[in-house]
Amino acid sequence: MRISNFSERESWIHALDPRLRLITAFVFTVFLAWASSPCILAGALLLSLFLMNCAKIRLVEIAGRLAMLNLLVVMLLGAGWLLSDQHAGDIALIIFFRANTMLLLLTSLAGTMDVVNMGHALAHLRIPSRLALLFLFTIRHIDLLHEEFQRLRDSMRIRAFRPGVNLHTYKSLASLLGTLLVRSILRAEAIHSAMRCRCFSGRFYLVRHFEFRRTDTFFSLGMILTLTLLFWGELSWPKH
Amino acid sequence: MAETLIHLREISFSHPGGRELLAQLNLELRQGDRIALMGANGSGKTTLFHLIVGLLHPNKGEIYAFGLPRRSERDFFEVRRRTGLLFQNADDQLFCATVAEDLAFGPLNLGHSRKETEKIVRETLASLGLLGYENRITFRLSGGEKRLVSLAAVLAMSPDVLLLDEPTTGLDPDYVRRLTDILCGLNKTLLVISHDKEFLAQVTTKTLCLKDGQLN
Repeated sequence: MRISNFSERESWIHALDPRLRLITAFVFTVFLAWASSPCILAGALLLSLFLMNCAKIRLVEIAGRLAMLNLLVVMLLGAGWLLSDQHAGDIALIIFFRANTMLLLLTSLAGTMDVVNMGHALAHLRIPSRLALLFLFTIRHIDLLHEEFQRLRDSMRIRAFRPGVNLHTYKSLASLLGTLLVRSILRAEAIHSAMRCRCFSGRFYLVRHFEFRRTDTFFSLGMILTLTLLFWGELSWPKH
Repeated sequence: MAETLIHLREISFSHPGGRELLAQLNLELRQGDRIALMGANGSGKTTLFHLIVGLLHPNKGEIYAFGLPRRSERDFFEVRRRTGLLFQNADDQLFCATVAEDLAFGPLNLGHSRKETEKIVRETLASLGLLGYENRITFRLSGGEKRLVSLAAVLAMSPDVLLLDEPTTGLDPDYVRRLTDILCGLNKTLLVISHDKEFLAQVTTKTLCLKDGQLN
C-alpha cells in the first residue's frame, strides 16, 4: 500500500533510516513554526528544494499540491488588501515560505517511505504500540475497502447503472454504502478470527529493524549543522 | 490404537435466530487420520471447523481436544496452537504487509525468539517451494500464491492437526497439483473440506458426509 507515489524510487534519501527521516521532518517542522524572518525561511525553502531534488522528485509532479496551497496564500493576501492591513503582505510572505517549505520537506522526507515502513518506524520511536498498530491496520483496511468498493461499483456498472438525479440513483448508492459497511465489518471479524487462530493475544511483534548507517550519520550531522545555522540566523536577525 | 486428538460429543449448534445446523454431532479425530469432509453448501462444514478451534461455541455438547475438555477462550489457546485452520478465503488470513511478517506472526505469538522465528520462516518457505517470497507484498500475490502463503503461515506454527477449508477452490490445475504434493508429503492429521473428489482421493483416506446436522 502506498499513500504517496514517491516511495518506490531510488536515491540516498530513500535509503536513509526511516526513523531519522521522521525525526528530521518533525524537528524542522517545529523550527519552521517558530522562525519568522523571511530570509531564514527562504533559506529553509532552498534547503527543502535541495532535499526534494535529491529524492528525485520533480517540481512538476507536486505542482498540483503546491498550487492548491498557494491559492490559500493568495486568498489571504486578497483578504489583507480588502481590509487594507499594512502587515498583510509580510504575513502572507511568511506563510508562503512556511507552508511551501513544510510541504516540500514532508514530501521528500516522509513521502518517500512506504506506509509499512512508516508504521514500523513510528513503533520503533516508542509511539504507543496500539497507535502504531491502529495506523497500520487502518492503512491496510483503506486499501481493502477501496477494492471492495470498486468491485461493487463494477458490478453495478455491468448492469448498466448510470448515476443521475433520481430516486433510483440515491437508493442504489445507499445500498452500495450499506453493503460496503456490512462487508467491512464481516471482513474485520474474519481477520480477527484468523489472528486468534494464530494465537494473537494483543501483542504485536515488530519484524523490521532499521540500521543506522554511515549515510545516516552524515545526514544527521549535515542537518544538525544546517539547523544550528538557521537557528543562529533567526536569533540574530534584527526584529522590527 | 492411535491417540484421539479431537473428540466432539453430541454437539448441537445453531446460529442466533437460525435453524439448527448441527444436531448431536459426533466426531473423533485420531492421530494420523486423513479425513475428507463433504456436504452440501450451507450444511455447516465451516461452522464445524470454527467450533473445533473455539471461534464459535456449541449450544450443547462437549469438545475434547488433546485430552482435555475445552470450554473457555483460554482453553482454546492451546487448541489453536496445535490446530492449524486454513480459511476458505486467503484474503482473510493474510493481514500483514509482507509474506515474511505474516509467517512470523504465529511463531512470535507462541513466544519464539526473533532468531528462531527467522529460521522457522525460512524453513517453512523452503519446504513449500516459496523461497524468495519473503518481501513480497501479501495483497499483491495471485490467488494461488495467496493460498500457498496462507498454508505456509499455518504450517509455521507446526500444528499437529490441519483443518483445511476448501483449499483447492479457485486454484488452477498446477497449483492443485502443488498443493496435493505438499499435503501428501506432510505427516499430519488432516480434516479437509472440499468438493474436489479427485483431490480428496489423493490426499485423504476416509470420507465423512455432513447431512442434516449429522456425520456419517
